[in-house]
Amino acid sequence: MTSAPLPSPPQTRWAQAALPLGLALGVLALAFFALGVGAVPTPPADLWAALSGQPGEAADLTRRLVFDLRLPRVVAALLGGAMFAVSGTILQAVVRNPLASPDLVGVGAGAGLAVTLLLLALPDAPGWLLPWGAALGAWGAFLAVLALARDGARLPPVRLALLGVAVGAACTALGQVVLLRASDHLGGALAFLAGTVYGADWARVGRALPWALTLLPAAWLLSRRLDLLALGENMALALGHRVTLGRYGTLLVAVGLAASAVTLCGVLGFVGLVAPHLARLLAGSLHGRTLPVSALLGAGLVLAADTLGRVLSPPLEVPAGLITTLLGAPYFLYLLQRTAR
Amino acid sequence: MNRPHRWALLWYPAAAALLAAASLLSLGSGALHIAPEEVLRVLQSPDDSRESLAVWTLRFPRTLAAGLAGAALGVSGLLLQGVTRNPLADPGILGVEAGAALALMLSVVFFPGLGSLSVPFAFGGGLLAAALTLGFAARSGFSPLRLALSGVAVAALCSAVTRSIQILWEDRAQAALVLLNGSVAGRTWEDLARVWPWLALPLALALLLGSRVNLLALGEDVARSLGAQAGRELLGLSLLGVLLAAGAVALTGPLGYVGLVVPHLARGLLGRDHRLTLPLAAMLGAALLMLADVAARLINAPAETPVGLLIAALGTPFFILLARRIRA
Amino acid sequence: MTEPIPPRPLEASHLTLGYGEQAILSDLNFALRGGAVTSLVGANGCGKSTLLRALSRLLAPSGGSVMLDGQDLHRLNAKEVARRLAILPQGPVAPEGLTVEQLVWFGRHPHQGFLGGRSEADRAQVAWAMSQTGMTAFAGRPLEALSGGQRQRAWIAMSLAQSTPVLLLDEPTTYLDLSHQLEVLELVQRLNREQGKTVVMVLHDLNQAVRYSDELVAVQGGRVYAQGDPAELMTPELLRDVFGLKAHVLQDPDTGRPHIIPYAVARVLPPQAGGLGSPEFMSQTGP
Ligand SMILES: Nc1ncnc2c1ncn2[C@@H]1O[C@H](COP(=O)(O)OP(=O)(O)OP(=O)(O)O)[C@@H](O)[C@H]1O
Ligand SMILES: [Mg+2]
Repeated sequence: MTSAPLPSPPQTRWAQAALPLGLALGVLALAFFALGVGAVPTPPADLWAALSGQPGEAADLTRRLVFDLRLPRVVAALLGGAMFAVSGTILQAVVRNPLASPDLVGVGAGAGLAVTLLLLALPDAPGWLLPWGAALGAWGAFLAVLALARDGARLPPVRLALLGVAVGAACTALGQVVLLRASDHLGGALAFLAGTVYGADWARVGRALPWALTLLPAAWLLSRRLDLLALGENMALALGHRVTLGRYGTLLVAVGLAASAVTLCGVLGFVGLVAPHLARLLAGSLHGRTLPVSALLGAGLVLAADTLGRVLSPPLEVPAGLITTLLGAPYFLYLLQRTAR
Repeated sequence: MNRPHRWALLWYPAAAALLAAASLLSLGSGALHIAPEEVLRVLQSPDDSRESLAVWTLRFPRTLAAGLAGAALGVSGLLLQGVTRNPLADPGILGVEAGAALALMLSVVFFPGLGSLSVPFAFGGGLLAAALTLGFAARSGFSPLRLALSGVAVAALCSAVTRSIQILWEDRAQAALVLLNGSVAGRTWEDLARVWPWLALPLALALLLGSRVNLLALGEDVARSLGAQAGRELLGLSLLGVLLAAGAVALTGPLGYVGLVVPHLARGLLGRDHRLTLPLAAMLGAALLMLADVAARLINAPAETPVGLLIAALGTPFFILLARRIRA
Repeated sequence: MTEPIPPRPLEASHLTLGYGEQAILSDLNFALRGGAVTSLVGANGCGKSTLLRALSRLLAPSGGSVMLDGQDLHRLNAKEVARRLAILPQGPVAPEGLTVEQLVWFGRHPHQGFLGGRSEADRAQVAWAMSQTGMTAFAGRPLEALSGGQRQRAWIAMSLAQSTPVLLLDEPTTYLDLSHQLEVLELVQRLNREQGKTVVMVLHDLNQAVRYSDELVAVQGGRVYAQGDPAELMTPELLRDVFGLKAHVLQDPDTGRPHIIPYAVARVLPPQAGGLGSPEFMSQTGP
């Protein structure tokens, strides 16, 4: 047992930075591609001309098309994906359950139901109010799921997921029953709750953006608390972490992220499950690294899903939420098997 | 064995009375309200009145559809719960209904000429989904909660595929939309004619097989020691359960939780003897779905609420209650 | 790194511990000797882990108090406690993919600020903790790719990285083969002798407890049955009362300490609910 210097070779630092950087570049390239896709495809050269601010009538037209229609949609996909992914990462760390994700613990559906009820009661509610209502509904559903799934002091993973799905299904069904009574206009305005960025405009992006801009960095600042919580209650306490405070603080961030994302793009199935898992595979289990990677993966996943949905058979569009479910449900089944061992 | 038999003397007539009352209600309720006496009158002597027309062309097939589907789902749930010995087994939860719906969507969009074979298609889809669910659950130890969770995921997957097809082949999928909306509104005599043999025969068969289910409900090993060919019978009864659910889906679209609630109700009333509970489950399932359909017509009149939504909203608390009683 | 040793770093007075309504240990009064190695011994389920958890702030007492260097432990700031006292609970589980080095770094958490900047001192302490436990070669390995014993040593390294004057270890030798058991115990001894660390550990091997500790605390029936010098404490009577064992207690020719050779179970353990011979079972089989 002789003392040896710690191996922290410089190339691992590089490798550490390379992953998020590469992902960010990939997402950026995908976004550029997505901006050119639509009923009237825009060739990359024209797109570049418009984006780089060249004068000219054609460029002006393209600019308007891109900035008013396509950009908000792309931004919504990126933000929504990142928010669900980070929310899922936090949930999985705090409840120490690989099957947790905002849509699997009732948070997404609770937020959706709250938004529906809110707009039914106050049709002229200002946009900024929606995320607050959504967060309230999300907490309601989440606390109900926690209370139902608890078995003494334990929170068995499979039970949490199953009851979370059930409560979520009940919320969704209730929301639909309620919507049947509402005006067609409201029904149309809330159609996105099923999980799509179709029709996302700057107003919709604007109401979720402040939440993203505060909560995403907050999540990153809390990454060391997440590491501690992931070690388990005893270890976290032993290392001097205030566990209850840490738990509720981080959950506040997770639920807020998912709820405000719901007001942006509805519930995008399984994004909050798949992105964190892939991120941990790629970046390990320390959250300082996992969180940014997870956010980028979520953003890229949703943007790719949305773009795929648009190019499959234009002008028809398959909602992003459906495509993420097609990918995520089999992954969930795979995880379920793995947790058995 | 004696006590439940005596209870059956009470509960069978009660269930039959409930079924009759539910039928009358279902025939009489809606935008045009018809009093029960009036319903009985036009049933005996049809005429050209609006009431008679409404009863004979709209509400009778609809009521029959609700009754048949309800009975099929109730019996299917009881069979599946019995043979898998899993209190959460329900054709909806196991993904069978979503799989059947997907197959129906595929058949309508890609093989529109084969309308008369809708039930075999649905059966194939339901079977495949059930196999997937069981396959994944088997590899993780078969606990009831895991089985339910794999079923939920398989169902989510199937419905996502169904909806994608519906979007991508929008015009061709129109016909399937009405079929799969989880409702009995607008079911016609033709719809019934297409499906009823596929439902009535397996229903009758299932009611005769109560004693086989009893054996398997003791567990495969015990059943085998008592001389049953457990593997083959288990497979046969499960297939029957899936077929019933597929038939119901071909008539109404997916309707979760009926196959969960009804069997528990039947067992609660008459105990574990499937010879007694199967007929009761059939009657209760039919009555339940008819009543739910009446409620679906009334709560938001004159608009119709899909009965499937209503049942999902009401059935979930029941499911949660059951799931909570199971140790993880 | 040696610090002045407080004479009685941990002290319990009228300490009552339990989960919910049920009291596991009641009205305990004792003080741990500073700068000594103390072993807690007792039968399975007698409350050793519970006691250790209370001594380290993981479990709030339902009555009485624990004093750390004369201050009420449960009133102290969490990080402050973690800088003075490290505990390794029984059977910790790490998240998948965590490497040994990453785990050991957690031990520095109580010494770091909110953002967790890493100082040279932190680095040195982590390197030292890994080398002391022989884990340096495994630094980059994920924990699930280690054997049970190597994993245990990684956790011990994490506790060492906390560099606290007091170290509590709940069954540090389970999962280890005999030579690694002795290695851990000698590590404990060395830490104690060279750095004056106060160590409290739970051990199941009584001979090891006798050999490596300066003091024994035997827990039985919800209280401290006896506390003192192992050589005086280890008697056939104690073994009978605390463990239900019949044993010869010989003298080890090398160390002069007692050596225990159990040869029989002394008494039938009290009947447990539902077990064979319990009243419930008997009544069920009645006519
Ligand atoms: N979280 C808990 N909730 C309720 N009771 C508990 C809890 N943890 C332990 N107990 C009970 O408290 C008693 C003492 O447990 P403890 O873990 O302290 O025993 P121990 O002496 O460490 O046993 P072992 O040698 O097996 O580790 C046991 O009867 C146990 O069942
Ligand atoms: Mg213990």
